[in-house]
Amino acid sequence: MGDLLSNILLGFGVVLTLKGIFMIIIGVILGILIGATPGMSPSMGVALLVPFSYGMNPVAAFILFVAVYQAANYGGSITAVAINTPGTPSAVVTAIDGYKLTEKGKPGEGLGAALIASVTGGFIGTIILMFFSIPLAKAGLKFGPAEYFSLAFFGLTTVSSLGGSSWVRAFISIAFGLLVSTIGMDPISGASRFDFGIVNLFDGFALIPSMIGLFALGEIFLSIEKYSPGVQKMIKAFSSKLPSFKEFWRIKDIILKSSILGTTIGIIPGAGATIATFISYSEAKRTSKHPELFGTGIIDGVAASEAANSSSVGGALVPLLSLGIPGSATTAVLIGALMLHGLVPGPELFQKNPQIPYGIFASLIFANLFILIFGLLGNRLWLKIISFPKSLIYPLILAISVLGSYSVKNSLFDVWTCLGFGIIGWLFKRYRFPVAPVVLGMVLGGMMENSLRQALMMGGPLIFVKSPISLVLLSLSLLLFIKPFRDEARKKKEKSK
Amino acid sequence: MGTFIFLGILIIFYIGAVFYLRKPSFDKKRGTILVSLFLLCLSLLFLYVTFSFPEEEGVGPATVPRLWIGLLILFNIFLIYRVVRGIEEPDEENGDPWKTIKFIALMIIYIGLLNIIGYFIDTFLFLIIAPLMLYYKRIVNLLAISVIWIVFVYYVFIQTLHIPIPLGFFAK
Repeated sequence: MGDLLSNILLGFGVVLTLKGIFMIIIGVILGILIGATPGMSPSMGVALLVPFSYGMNPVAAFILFVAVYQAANYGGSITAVAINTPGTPSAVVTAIDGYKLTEKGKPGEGLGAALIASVTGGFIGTIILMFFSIPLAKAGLKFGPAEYFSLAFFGLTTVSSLGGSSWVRAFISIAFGLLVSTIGMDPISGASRFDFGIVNLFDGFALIPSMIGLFALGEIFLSIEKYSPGVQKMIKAFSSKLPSFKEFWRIKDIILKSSILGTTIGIIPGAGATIATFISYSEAKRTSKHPELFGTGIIDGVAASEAANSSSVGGALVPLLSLGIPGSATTAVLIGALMLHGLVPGPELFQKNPQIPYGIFASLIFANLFILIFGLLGNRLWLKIISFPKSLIYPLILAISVLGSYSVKNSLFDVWTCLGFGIIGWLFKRYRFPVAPVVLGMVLGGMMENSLRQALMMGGPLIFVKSPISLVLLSLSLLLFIKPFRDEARKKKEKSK
Repeated sequence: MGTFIFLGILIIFYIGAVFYLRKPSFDKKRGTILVSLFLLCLSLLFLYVTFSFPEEEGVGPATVPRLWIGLLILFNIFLIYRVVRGIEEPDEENGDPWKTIKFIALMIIYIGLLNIIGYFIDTFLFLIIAPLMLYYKRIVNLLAISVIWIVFVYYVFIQTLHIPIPLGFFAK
């Protein structure tokens, strides 16, 4: 316990410096803007920032990234409530009740509820993160290759079986990402694979430029084809009266429950903020005394969605910090960032580089504090900034993407990689193949291959059944794999009745 | 050599598929099938290449790639079957892809010139031409934004963060 306390103090010590606080403030401002800009997601924002952190001290870089991540998840709610255009995919649910409140002339209530629920959710998520990731990392140290393979496999099946109606496409996206991860030198025998004689491919595609391509360029290319000038929604003047304290007190249970639910869902590898908001919203509706009022513009709905949204950040960081497995698209980007800084994602991070995980905890706590301050101060300002014309924002993002992919390794090939993956991302999004699973596959592929081969060399195929943890995870994966088939069969039955 | 012949066969097959799918009965299904077929061809090409990997007993360098290729082939065939049978939801209405294709062409020119005229001049031009392609009309604003961006990149990325930037002939 004393050890834990001294480590937590270490984290706060790292953050509570002029530079640390500066990083958090910059991160929160950037994060809110990224989140509030429709078409820019938290994962895209962090991916664009990662290359520029190369020269920074890694601790400062991660303080910045998680502040951006947390703030971007909140920022999406501003545009969702004010103009019914969710800034992030996870703010879609927030818009249901949030925009109805704006239509009733009470946008202040929607924005206020979103802010308070976000910040509370963010705090709760961080606390749970601190208490879960440390013991889990200790357990993770005992994991062998069989357990690691099964865990990653479980994570990937979760992503696809929760992919909704496009679950087959999600499986394809994952398999594609996994295949891309095998390009380059074989990690065990050193044989060259799929490089087609191109020297730049000897080590495979660089992770960060590929992510920038898939997340940023892909999204912009899709927006460009739908773009027409003069459709920008203008923000009308509105009252910014916040809900009363009594109102907040009434929804405290919803915020608390949604925060815990959001964190828990965030912990499951692959299930991120969007799923957390949908489940929390329907759970709040189900247990409400007035379920019929949900969807008509009540702060309960906004709070349920936003608390889950923000708390999922802490949850998604649990498997990342303790096991090196991403819990969401943004944490997949963070894995790429860890590797870029020469750090090994996984349980050893707590022992070898304790400043990183404990700095992240402290950063999240302060980030939530600054989100509260900036949220109270600046809703009008944020809305004004994001009404900057898209015809200028898109080219600027592309110019940043080019610079970012170049600067990772000083290589023009990486810029072409970024463009190539941008085109893939565009076509994938155009035909509803989800992009985040591609990135998860690329990030986890190398680790899965190594652990699979090591496990097979150690104990043959039976090793996966002999280890109880691995057996449970693989059985769960099998159940998850069957789930979409069963759901469809059930739907068909209901239809024929 | 064998790889190129195999690639050629796949390309001919793909072009054939593009023509075959022009039938009206594939409306709202065409896009997904073409993406899926592309991935299928890619998997087959990669599968072909794995046979040139050094063979080892048990688990070698080809094992895991073949596992992923197998999954990719299975799921793509399954998806195409579902799309053709109408089990999958139809393709969504999107915008005009030619807009994006023109934009990608601009990006190719932009990146191609990066090492020749350097990031600064190249980006200055890109930030003027790209918004014009997106129907932005105020030239004065564009000039101002381009200049501000370049000054910003110079001071923040080069002077403060020491990020490497392609300088083109300026470097010489």
